[in-house]
Amino acid sequence: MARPSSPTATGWGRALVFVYGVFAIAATGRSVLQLTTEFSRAPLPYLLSGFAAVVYCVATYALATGRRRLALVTVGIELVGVLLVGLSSLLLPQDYPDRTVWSDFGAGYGFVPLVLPVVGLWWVLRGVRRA
Amino acid sequence: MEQAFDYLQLALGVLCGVASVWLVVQLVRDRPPGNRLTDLLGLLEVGLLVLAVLGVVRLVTGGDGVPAWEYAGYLLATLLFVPAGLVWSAGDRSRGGTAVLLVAVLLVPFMFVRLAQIWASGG
Repeated sequence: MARPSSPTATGWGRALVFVYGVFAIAATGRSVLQLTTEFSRAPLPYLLSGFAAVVYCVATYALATGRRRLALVTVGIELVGVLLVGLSSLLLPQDYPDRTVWSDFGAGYGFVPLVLPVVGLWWVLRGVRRA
Repeated sequence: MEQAFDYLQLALGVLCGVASVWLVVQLVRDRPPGNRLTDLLGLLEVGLLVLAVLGVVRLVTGGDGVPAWEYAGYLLATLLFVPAGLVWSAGDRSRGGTAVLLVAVLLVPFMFVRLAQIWASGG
């Protein structure tokens, strides 16, 4: 591994990047399956799943390579996304015939999607103060 | 075949439990995982490979109604956690690297639960 160590991907950040990577792959896999096999059944949730997948992939890349600004933007979008989708999936369940990663604030994934962006923002900002 | 799958899955679940307790101990002691723990993870991965083969056989022989691509995808994904965790943790021998392995090992039983849910959805 010739990758230079970056401040956001060392120590506990190492584990954070790993969790982000798992979510990136899981969301991408689920999204590809949904968009290619049954898109017409639930276009809105499936497009949201695809969007979430892209956000997780970019956030993983940003955290792993120490790009703080990109990490802040993508993790911020993630936080807004999980809050908006979480709230609207509870208020407007008819618009969500199938689940997304962010439905019900990520309850299907043990609320990890809700906790992850908060931990991510804390981790990136903590590094900024120290730097 | 069904029984072999279930028993192996149970055994691997126990193995994950042992490995995660061991990893927590190493985390608390602030020591990197040693050779024996790495060997245990290797054994776990070999078991997961056998489980994936059994799972595909199970899918082909008796998986009517089970969403095949989703099930196969989860079987494949289950194989990736431990090797990916080993590679990623190798870049950081501090507690962070050990925590990576702990996350990887804890995800495996979670995947077992998802696999069972997907199987049940088609049964």
